Amino acid sequence: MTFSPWLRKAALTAHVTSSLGWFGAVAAFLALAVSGLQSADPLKVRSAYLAMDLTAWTVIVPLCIATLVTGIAQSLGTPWGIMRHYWVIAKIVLTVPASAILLLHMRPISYLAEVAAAGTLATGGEHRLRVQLIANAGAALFVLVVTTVLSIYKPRGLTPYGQRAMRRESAER
Amino acid sequence: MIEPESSNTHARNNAPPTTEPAPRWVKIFGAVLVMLLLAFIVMHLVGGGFRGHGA
Repeated sequence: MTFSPWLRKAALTAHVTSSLGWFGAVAAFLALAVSGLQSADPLKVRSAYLAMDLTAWTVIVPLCIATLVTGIAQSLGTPWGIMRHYWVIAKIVLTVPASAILLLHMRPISYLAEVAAAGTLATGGEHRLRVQLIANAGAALFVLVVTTVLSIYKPRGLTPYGQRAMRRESAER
Repeated sequence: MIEPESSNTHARNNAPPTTEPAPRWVKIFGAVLVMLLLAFIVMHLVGGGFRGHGA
């Protein structure tokens, strides 16, 4: 199945918008996580973890899913394919585990927000979990930068499947 | 008169097309990914982080 030029541009627009939106939301999440860990103001700490929970559920998770869906649609609906080029596979190999790790860490984020909302998050409390959220957000930003670089530079390299498909197509012409 | 194909030519035409190996960046990318995966597993096992996700 190949998209029409109009549909292809629409899918590309959706993919770029959702992936860059995901990047921006994770950057905001990281800023909140750092602020929540470092601030001495209890109100600021409480607000940070409540905002992180809201941002994660209402912005990061939907954009993550939208990025995955539009990315796979882009691959299937264009000549790039899903298994033909190494750079496409590299993006999938990075994005799918990143999404899985994000979904796995939603419970700790909600837990911290609940503790913060109850006003029981003492200074230095849940330190390890709070540091872990910073590390996760930093790792997510790194992964998103790498996938953006892969999308823009599209480093050469056809997979064996891609090479066979290319030969088959040129023989049919 | 058409010359018969030499055995070499025949062998060349019937040879399966060669598959190009993966570029160097793919190998480096794969190695880095495996190392990161191992580091992630070791960090979680050492820190007991896998059971901490339920909070």
